[in-house]
Amino acid sequence: MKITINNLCLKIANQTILKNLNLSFQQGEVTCIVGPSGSGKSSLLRTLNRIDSNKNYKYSGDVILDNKSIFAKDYSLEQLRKQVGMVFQKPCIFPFSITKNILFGAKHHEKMTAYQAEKLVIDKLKQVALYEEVRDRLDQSALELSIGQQQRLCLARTLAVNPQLLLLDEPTSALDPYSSGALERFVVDFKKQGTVVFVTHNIAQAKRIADHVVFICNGEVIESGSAEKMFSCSTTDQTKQYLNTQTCDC
Amino acid sequence: MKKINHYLICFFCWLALVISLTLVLGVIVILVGKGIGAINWNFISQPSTNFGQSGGILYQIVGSLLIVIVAFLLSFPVAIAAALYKSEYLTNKKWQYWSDMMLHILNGIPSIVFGVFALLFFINICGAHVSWWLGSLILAIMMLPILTFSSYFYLQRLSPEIRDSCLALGLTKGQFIRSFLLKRSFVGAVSGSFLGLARILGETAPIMWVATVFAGGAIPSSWSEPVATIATHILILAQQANDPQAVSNGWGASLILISLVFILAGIGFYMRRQQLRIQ
Amino acid sequence: MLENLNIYPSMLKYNKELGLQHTLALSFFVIIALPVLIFFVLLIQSKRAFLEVGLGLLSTSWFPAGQEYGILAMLYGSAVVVILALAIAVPLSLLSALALTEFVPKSLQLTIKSILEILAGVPSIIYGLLGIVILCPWLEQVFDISTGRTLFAGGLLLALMILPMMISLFEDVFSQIPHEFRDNSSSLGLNKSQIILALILPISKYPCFNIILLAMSKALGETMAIMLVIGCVDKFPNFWLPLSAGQTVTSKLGRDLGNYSFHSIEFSVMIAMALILLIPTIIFSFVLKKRELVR
Repeated sequence: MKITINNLCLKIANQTILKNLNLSFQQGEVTCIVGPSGSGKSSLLRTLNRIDSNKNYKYSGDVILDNKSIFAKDYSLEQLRKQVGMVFQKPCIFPFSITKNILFGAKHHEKMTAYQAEKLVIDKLKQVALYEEVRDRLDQSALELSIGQQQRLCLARTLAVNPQLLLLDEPTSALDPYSSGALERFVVDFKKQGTVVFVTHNIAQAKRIADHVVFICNGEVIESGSAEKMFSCSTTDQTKQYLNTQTCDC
Repeated sequence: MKKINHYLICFFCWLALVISLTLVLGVIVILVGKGIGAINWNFISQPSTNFGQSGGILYQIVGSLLIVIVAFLLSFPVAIAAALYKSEYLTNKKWQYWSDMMLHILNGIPSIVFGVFALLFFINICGAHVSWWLGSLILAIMMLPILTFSSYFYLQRLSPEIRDSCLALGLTKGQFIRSFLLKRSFVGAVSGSFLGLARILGETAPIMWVATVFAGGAIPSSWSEPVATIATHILILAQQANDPQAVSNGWGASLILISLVFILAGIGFYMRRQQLRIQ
Repeated sequence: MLENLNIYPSMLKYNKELGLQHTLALSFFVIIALPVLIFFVLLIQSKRAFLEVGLGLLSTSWFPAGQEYGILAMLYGSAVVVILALAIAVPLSLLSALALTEFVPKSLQLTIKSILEILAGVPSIIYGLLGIVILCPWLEQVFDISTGRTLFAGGLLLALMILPMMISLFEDVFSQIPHEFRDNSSSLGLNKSQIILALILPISKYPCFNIILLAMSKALGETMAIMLVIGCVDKFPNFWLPLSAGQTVTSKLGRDLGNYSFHSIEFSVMIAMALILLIPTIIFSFVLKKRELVR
């Protein structure tokens, strides 16, 4: 799967959020997007799977996914979101059982027998390292899980749809260290089957898992490149300042 | 298949909304359309004659306003006092639950049952005659739950910090209530007042046996006289549906009634929204 | 003497405190006692009906001149009218509320909701006028019947009366579902109608049922509008003909209570009917409070 962003501009209610973005994400790699709050990172992610496409979002420029523009009139939004999965910052669990939560999206995309469904649930729970903790209460309400477990459940729910591109919007910001670690291990593991775009405030986390780093400030890409290059010898001063001290003068 | 389902559901939702809005707004359009022809200065300023087939509805307008305002004056202090008691002195959870329940029951009792009760209690048991102030009394009882809840909820939203600081200054409960909470309970009851007034202005059933008569109602000049109200007048006119003049007057009276009700309800809802925004 | 002077100010304050508390308490307990009072007044006055007529109340024939006091026709009329009204108003209001929350743009949504809230306060006598002058003649035309004053007219009118309130309440329920739920469902690839079926409706089952109970309670108590369009015939109508005239508990009370003298047995039976009307109200309030329908 190849994703290229060409000159993307995003305006929400006449305020420019993203200016002239040019990026591409490589298959099988983890790209970390870093930058100060309000710089447009979340908006970029929401553009990639076109959530909020019904509000006052005005796009110009293009995002090409596998040689097709996602803004094309006949591009099926449901198909897009099947291929591009997203995990939000705050885990959002539906008031159903754990099993029902995981199958929630998958059920609508393909018909499954009960056996296949059960296997899918167990598979995905194992993939996010949650199976051992909840194996005896799969049919109980998912609301009783801790925040860390809920976030991993959200991830499993997204994975059940089999996306090839995974968008993660600061998924570990509210989590305890164990859950954060489990999530990071998962991201590194997922590289074998897909691409990950990971927004984070935590530079240390980016150092741990990123293959590519993109620094965005005020809706513009200040610099992007491989992780080694960005962390050791980045070209712009702003990048250096941000990656070292997490402050930005822009 | 999925696509068809999607379009069907969207279609039926929109269809339902269009039908509902058409029906609901249609009622208003019909009222305004048919009523506006009947309203002129004479209509508002002349008393009715000939069972309402001719003349205006002056007495009815005055009568409605009279019993509604008196009902408000009767129920307002009682509701405020009850809300203050429930909020400040009632600590037992069971009492809170059951008093809530009683208020909800009182709120939900159908108007006709209030009418029956008024007839039995005031006229049968207490032996009073048909009088306009009995109408105010039963309408006041009907208004009590709305007013009490409105005041009570506004009192409850007072932050505990303010309460604690007032008490820490050495005020007793009574002084606290008199100096601070009384005003707050008044403010809280205001939105409920408008909503309650809007409701009782249109009521017929509770007062039709104890306060109104079906012919010859005039502005009461003493305590034990009946009264004429717009709502009961519309009832009288509706029962003469074969006579076009009566029907026309009925539309006129309805339009006036509904204008008053909407103004009051509009103010009430607006104030409630404002209250919910401010602490 | 000095001791007296010392006690006096604090006693004064004590009395003032207690005086305020007792005044407030009096108002409170008067209000709380009112439903109980209403219930007992009705109960006492209907005692004669229950004792003397007893199970005769459950007959289908109301013929006081022949000592027949069956109120089943009225109970049936009330049930039919309410069921008909709900059958029309519940689907209509549910789908309309879904349209309001899911499909209508936000700015318009608030305007429509405010309009509906205010329109829910139209007095019932005005609906009665509308019914008798417009609805009944229209029914006469459409169904080619001699009079439009039927149970069907009552049901239709009642549906119209509870419609704005129900749409408003359903809309409240659906709007309270957090926005994130819809976002998360969208990003899993569901379209709007799938979200409605798989998420919104299942989550709202409980509060929606509460709303239906509330509407049922309000519909049962409706008098003025029903009274004018229902035909007021104390007969048990043919099952298959809602297009026949009938009678509900409320319309019977509204029309005929004034016709019977205080001490007659007919009067007592009517009071018994009012009591029977009061009881579902109490039950509904009780059940709704238990299910915690917050006003």
